[in-house]
Amino acid sequence: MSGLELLGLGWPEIAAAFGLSATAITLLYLVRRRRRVVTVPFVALFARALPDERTTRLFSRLKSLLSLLLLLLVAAAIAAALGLPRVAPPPGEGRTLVLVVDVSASMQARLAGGGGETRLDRVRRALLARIARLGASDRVAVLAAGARADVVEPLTDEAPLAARAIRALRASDAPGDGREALAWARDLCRDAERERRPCEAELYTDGGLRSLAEARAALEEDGVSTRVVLTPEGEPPNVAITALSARRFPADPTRAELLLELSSFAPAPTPLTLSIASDGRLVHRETLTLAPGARLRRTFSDLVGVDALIEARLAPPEGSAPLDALALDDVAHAQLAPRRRRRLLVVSPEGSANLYLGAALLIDPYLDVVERSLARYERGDYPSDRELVVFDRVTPPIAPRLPSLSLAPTGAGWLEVGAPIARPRFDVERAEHPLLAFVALRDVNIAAARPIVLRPGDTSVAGEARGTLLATGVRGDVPFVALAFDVQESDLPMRIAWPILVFDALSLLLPDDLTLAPTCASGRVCRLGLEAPSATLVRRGDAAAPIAIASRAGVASFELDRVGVYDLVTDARAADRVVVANLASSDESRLDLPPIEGAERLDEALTAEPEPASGADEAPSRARWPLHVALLAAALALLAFEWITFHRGWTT
Amino acid sequence: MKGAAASPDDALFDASFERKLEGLALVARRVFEGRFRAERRSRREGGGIEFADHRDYAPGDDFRFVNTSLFGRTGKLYVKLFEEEEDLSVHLLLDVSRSMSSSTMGESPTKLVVAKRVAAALAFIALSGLDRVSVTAMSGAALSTLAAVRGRGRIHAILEHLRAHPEEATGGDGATDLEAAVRAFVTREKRRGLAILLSDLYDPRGFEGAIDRLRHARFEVVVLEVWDPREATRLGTGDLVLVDSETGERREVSLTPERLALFERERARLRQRIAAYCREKQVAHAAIPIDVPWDESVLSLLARGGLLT
Repeated sequence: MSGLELLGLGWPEIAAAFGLSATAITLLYLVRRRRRVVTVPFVALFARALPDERTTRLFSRLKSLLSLLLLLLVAAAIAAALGLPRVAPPPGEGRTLVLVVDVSASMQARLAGGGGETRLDRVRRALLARIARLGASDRVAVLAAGARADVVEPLTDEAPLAARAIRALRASDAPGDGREALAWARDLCRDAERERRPCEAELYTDGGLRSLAEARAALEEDGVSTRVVLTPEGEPPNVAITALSARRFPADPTRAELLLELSSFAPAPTPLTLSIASDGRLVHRETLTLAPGARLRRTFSDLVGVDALIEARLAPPEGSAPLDALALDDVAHAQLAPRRRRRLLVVSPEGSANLYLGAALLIDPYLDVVERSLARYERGDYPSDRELVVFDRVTPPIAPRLPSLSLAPTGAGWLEVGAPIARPRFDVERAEHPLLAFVALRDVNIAAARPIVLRPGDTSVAGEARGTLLATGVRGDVPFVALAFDVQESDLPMRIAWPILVFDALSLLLPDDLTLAPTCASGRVCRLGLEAPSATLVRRGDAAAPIAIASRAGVASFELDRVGVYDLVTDARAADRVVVANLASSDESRLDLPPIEGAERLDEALTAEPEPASGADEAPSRARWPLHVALLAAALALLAFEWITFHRGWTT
Repeated sequence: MKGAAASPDDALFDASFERKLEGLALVARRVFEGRFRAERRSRREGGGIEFADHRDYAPGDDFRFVNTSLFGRTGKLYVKLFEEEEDLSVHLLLDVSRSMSSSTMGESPTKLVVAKRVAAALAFIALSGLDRVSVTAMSGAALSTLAAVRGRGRIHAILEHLRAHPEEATGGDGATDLEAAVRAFVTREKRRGLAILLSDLYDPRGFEGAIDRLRHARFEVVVLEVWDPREATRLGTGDLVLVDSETGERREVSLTPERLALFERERARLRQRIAAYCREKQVAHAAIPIDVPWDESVLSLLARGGLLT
């Protein structure tokens, strides 16, 4: 027996729409039924004129309910029409076909001799032919398996809809994962089987999907028949930039180095030209030949600027012909993360600024310094956004909640110091400690110092036998660095070691998060340091809609499906930064088809296409009675009937 | 009666009303000169100049009226009787029950207002003809009577009486009981004459009894049926609770144009019955629709002749 299926609103929405309209109609009906009270001179005349009015009151009420009933029927018909209902084929008639199409980056690979046709183009063509052969009672769904699964077309028995969805398939620039899409296919098949329809999932892939074997096994366990159809061609040649990254030298943030990795997935040696551009200016070019299966890593120092957008490109040594089957991985970009501005609070004695400290902090333009006296600090009179506090010759009684650098602690506060010692020297140094990177303190002359009293867990970085002069540790889960003497009473400020020691201390206390770099891998979560609450990413050379990203605790997390350069726009201002995305996936760049058990080749699969389960001789899109039109017509007819009967007095 | 408030008292008989009265009186004099009085004589025998009959002499009779020539021929004493010519008494009987003052939409004067104006006009015309005029308001079985007045100058007394809510002065319950009211009227009123009944005749007990009572009491009866042509159409259609203005009886009806037409037919039947009954009993009858200006209605009454003549 055939049932009804809905193409528009679902039954709950229809019920809600009917409920709302029925309530409104009933209220209006009750309002209409409320009789007006009118005083007339001689009611007996009405009694004589309408003798049946009282005797047939019950019947009259029943008649009047007819009006309400008719209006409710009208509302029901309109609500049902909103669902676009139609007669569903009987259970068991027709089959359900779930088409899962791999849209990972490797599906962009051009086919040899295909005139520029890609793997996805070929699959698309095959699927359109497949759809055209479906029976009238068959239903089909189209799922895309990219970095994430996407339902391109839900289950439909309208062949044109499925064909349109297949034509709209586009390969992403990201690696694909088959688990999610195949899990959805399994769910669809379960639903179909509950309706006693045979269901089959067909996966069209080049084999590059991650987790394909496990997902397929899960389907087979659930009894869902799965066909895997592989795109044609065995090992198309491909070389790729599988890694490109840039970083600052830790010891010298003003310099950068570049790491580049090239991989060859070609069956033969591949000559190529490598070009590196910095902000569009060519800075390196070389020609090399990659052996089959070779992986070449190169680092370049002082080749690019720290703020530059770096582009690496592979090209054939001569001519403009494509280098290989997949152009996507022949270009990669890199961008250094901008240095974060550190927000410092310097607490000094009232009216006694430390010029040497001030001069050292002025060297780094990425420092935001606010100065306060100890009294104002203790009152909390300072900006709340400070990340680090420098105590210069003062020590508050309570340990700070921020990482701190203490210069010449007084011993009257949270940091314990020993008795003053005269003319201390740095006899002992832990040279490997980050605080002493590029710093030598052995011959520094000091007038006096009060050595740091260490607690368990503290580290004595430098000092002498009488006590520790430079220490680091943790107080109340907050790190600190302490220097036991007043630099104004030493010759340390005269040395280059002084500002470097300060910067080492700041770097130790506020390390940069190197994971928040603006270079992302397509299809994977990218974390970007972003102080604005939200921003948009606009891909250069792409008319696609901007991608909105949101920041939480100064970090924005997002995924990019397309490789390339994105302008980061915050507060509707012009682009102030760029974010780059690269494929950077050896699995996607490897274009050879892996052996998959039971997989069919696309050409074989098409020739071995089973006959449709039913209705092959019918039109692909079965003509169906437009029930919603009939329902609307019925509603109109009922409305007209109600109107006529009301004016005839039958329903009043 | 509160229903009269639909038309403010001041507007009931305003200056234009009085001007129209003057005009009507003039017209009435010109058209009915001599008829109103001369042709409406009382049948009372008495000291007039027109011979009426003879009767046997009885002790105490004025000897001057003994017909001596007849005594000479017959040898018996007969006294000559003369038809006494006296002033015509016009009794205006005004139905002031609530049905007269109920107004469905309040957009036009009520039947009571129109009836008062017509009554005032007739009173003025009668007073102009030197007739005696009395006004009796009837509500239920109760009456409120302005004793007969004479002379044109007394019209103001009548207007004041009509203006002063005589429907309340009756002390009646506002229901219509024409027969009981007329019975009370004829019992009280010894002076026969012209009785003009102004009413919508919406009486659950029937209108016939009141007319018959007047006839049997030897009043010359004129029935002026005041009616509202738009009484039904003002209700509109839909579900209504109709409340009788007098009895308070409620009736739920669902009015449609067809049902309104049924009501109109029923009312037409009632009006036809009133007219037929008056015709049968040789009682003058005229309808006064309230959507026609009152002065036109009065002129129409005068023009019909025979009604007041």
